[in-house]
Amino acid sequence: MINTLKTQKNTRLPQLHVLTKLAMFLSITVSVFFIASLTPLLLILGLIIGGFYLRNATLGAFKWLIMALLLSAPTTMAIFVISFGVEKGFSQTVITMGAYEGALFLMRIFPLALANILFVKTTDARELQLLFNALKFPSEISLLIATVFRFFPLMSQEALRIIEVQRSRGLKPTSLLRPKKFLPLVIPLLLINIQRSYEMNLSMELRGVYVAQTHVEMRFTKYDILVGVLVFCGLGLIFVA
Amino acid sequence: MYPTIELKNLSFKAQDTNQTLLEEINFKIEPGERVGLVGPSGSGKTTLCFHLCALHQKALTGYTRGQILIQGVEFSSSSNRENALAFRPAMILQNPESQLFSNTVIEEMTLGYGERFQDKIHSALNEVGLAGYERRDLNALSLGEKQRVVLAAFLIQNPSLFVFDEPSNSLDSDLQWKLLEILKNLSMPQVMIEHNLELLTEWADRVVEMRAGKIVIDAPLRKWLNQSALKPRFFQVALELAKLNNAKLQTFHPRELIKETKSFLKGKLCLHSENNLPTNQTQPLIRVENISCGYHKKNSVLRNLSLSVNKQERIALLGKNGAGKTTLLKCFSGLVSPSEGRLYFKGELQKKWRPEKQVGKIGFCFQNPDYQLFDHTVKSECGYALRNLNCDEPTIALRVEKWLEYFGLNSFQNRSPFSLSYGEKRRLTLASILVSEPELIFLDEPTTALDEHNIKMLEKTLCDLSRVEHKTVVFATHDLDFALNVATRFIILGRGAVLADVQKSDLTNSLLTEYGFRLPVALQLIQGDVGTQEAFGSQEILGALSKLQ
Repeated sequence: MINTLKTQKNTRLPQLHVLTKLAMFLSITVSVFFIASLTPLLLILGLIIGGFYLRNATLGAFKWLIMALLLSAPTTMAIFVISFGVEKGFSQTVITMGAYEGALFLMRIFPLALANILFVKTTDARELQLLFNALKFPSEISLLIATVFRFFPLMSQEALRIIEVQRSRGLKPTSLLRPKKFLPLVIPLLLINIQRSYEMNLSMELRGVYVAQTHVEMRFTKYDILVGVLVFCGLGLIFVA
Repeated sequence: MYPTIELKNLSFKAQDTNQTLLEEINFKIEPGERVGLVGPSGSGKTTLCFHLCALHQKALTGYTRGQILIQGVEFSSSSNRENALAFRPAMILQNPESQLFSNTVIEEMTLGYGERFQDKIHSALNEVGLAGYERRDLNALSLGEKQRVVLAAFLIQNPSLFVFDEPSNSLDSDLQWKLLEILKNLSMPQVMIEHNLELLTEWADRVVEMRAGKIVIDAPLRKWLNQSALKPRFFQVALELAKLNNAKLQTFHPRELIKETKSFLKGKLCLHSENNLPTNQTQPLIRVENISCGYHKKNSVLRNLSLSVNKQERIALLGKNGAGKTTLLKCFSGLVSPSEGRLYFKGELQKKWRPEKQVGKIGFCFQNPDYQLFDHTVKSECGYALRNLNCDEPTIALRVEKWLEYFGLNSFQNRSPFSLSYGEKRRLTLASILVSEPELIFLDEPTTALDEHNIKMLEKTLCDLSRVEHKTVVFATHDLDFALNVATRFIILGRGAVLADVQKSDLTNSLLTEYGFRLPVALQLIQGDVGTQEAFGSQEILGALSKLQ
C-alpha cells in the first residue's frame, strides 16, 4: 500500500529502505572519525557526491552552508598549521604535518555535512515516522524525530530569505563568516523558527497526529541487503584497520 | 440543542507580562454558523481562538478563568484528553507552510493516519478542488494550493469547528474568492479572523468585534456594519451613494449591494485620475532590456522582459500568485541575477548589480518584517543600513531621528523592535530603508496582515514619499484597491512577461477584468454611474462622493 502511494522519485538508483539509508549515513558519520588517511576519506566524499548525482539531488538551500564551509577552509588550515607550529616549533615537517591534519579535518567535515544533507534531501518525514513506528518507538518520539528532520530544509530556506533581506540593507554575505556579524542572521532565524515550531506543534496537536498510530511491516529489497552488507563490511574493515 | 462551543465569563491573563488579554468574554457558536472576528492587532482575537479550540493550555502560558462549554459539557483540565478527543476543532494558521510536514500531498494527508482513510482522503481533496493532486510535490504547489491541502488534511477528521486565522493573507484575489466558495460549502461552524472586510462581509453571518481583550460588538452582519467604526470602505461608498439618492440600503452583502446600487446615481459623479508627475523625463531611473531570470537555470520565471521605471512614478505590479512580481523586484534590486539581458541604472549598463552595493540607491521592503528585525532598540535597528555604509554617528543619529519622526515612531526609539505591533514593525522596516535615502523603493506585498487603518496610513505615506520626498515607488500587491489608491502606473505580469503596462488614466475596468482581476467592490458600486470605464480606488471615490454632498 505504501508503495502505491509513494511518488515516483526522479532517480537513477533503486529506492532504498529508509532503515538502510539511516544505517548507511550513520555509519558514514561514525566512520569518518576513525579514518586517519586522506585516500579513504576522499573515496567516501566521491561516493557521496556520486550519490547526489545519481539521486538527482540538488544542494538547493544548503548551497550557502557548503559555500561557508569552503570559504572557511583556508582559515581552518591556518589554525591547524599555527597550532602545530606553536606546540612543536615552526619547521618544514611540522608545517606539513599541520597542513595534513587540517586537510584531514576538512575531509571529515565535508562528507559528514554532505551525507546528512543527502539523507535529508532523499527522505521525508513520513517515511521516518513509519520506520520508528515499525521499530515500536512511541508515536510522540517518532513524530518528534521526523519533524526535526523536516525542520532542516525549512531552516536553511528561512536562512536564505533572511540573508536576502539583510543583503538589501548592506550586509555582505562574506561578513557572515565573522561571528560578530552573525546577529542579523541568527536572531531573526531563531525567532522565526521558534514561531514555526510552535505553529507546527499546534498543528500536529489539532490534527491528532499524536494519538494516531500507524504500524507498517518493514520490507527489504535485494538492494537493501546488498547495501547493508557493504556497510557492514566497510565498517568492519575500518575498525580492523 | 446546545451551541457547538460556549465561553462564559472567560478571562485570560498572560503569565510573563501579567497583562489581561481576554476579559469577561461571553460568546457562543451555534452549529453551522459562520462568525467573523475583527479588531486591531493585539486585541485578543488569536487568544480567543485558542480558547475556542480548547487549545489554550498548550498554546498559551497564563491563567484562564471562566467556563468553556463544549456542546453543553464543561471542558476542564482534568477531563482534557477525553474531551479533546470528542471535540475535534481545526485551526488554519496564517502561514500554510507551518502546517505541512511531508513532501507530497498524499504523504501529508496520510500523516499519522496511514492509508486506511483512502476514501476520506480522496473525498477531502475533491471537496477543496484538489482531486488528482495526490502525487504532487508539496514544495511545488502555490500558497493557495498548500492552504487547500491543509484544509483537506483537517477535513479528513470531520472537525467539529473550523477556525481560520487570516487565511487570505498570501492569496491573490482570485484564490481568496475561491477559498471563500469552498468554505461556504462546508457544513460545520466556522470562525474567521480577517482584516479583509470585503471578503469577511461576503462570508460571515455574524461579526464579533474585539478591542483590548473585550468583545465590543457581537451582532449579525447588518447590525455590525451599522454600529461599528471599522466600516469597510466599500460600505462607506454604498452609504454615501444611498445618502445621495435619499435611499436606505436594503442589503449588506457586497454582491447584493452591487445589484442594489445599480439604480442609484446616474451621471452625477465626476472622477479624474491624478496626473501630477513631471513630464520632462529625460531618462528612466532603472531599465531592463530582454531580461530572463529565475531560481533554476532551466526554468526562468521572467522571460525576455523589458521595461523601465521613471523618476517619481508609483508603479503597481499586479498578477496572480507565481506571475513573477517578487522575482522582478528581486531582479531590479540585484537579489536575483538575470541569466540573459541587460540592466541599466540612470542610463548606465550594470554588470555586477549586487544588492549590498545598492544601499543608498535602492531600498527593498520585504513582506514579513520578522525576517529583518534583530537589533535591541528601534533606533539601532533603524540605523543598521547606515552602519553598513560606514556613516559617522552624528549622520546616523540625524537621519534615524528624521525618519522615525516621519513614521511616528520617535517615542519608541529605545524600545525593543520585537515589542511593536505588526503595523508599527512595518513602518519601522520602511524607516530603516529610507534612512539610507534611496531614490527607488521596492515593496513586496506591503498590505499583508495590515488592517484598514494601517493600510490607509501606508497609502498616504507612499503617496507623500513620491510627491514630497520625490521618491520612486514600485510595489507588488494582490490588493487591487490599494494599488488603485496609490499607483500612477500599472504593470500586469503573467507567465513571466508583461501583459499590460498602462498609466492610471488609461486603466479601464474592462482591462482589469480581461486579465482576470476581480474589481474592488467600491469600484463595482459606481460602475455604470460614472460616464467612464476608468478604474478608481475607494479613497478617490469617497473623496468625489463627499464633494457631491
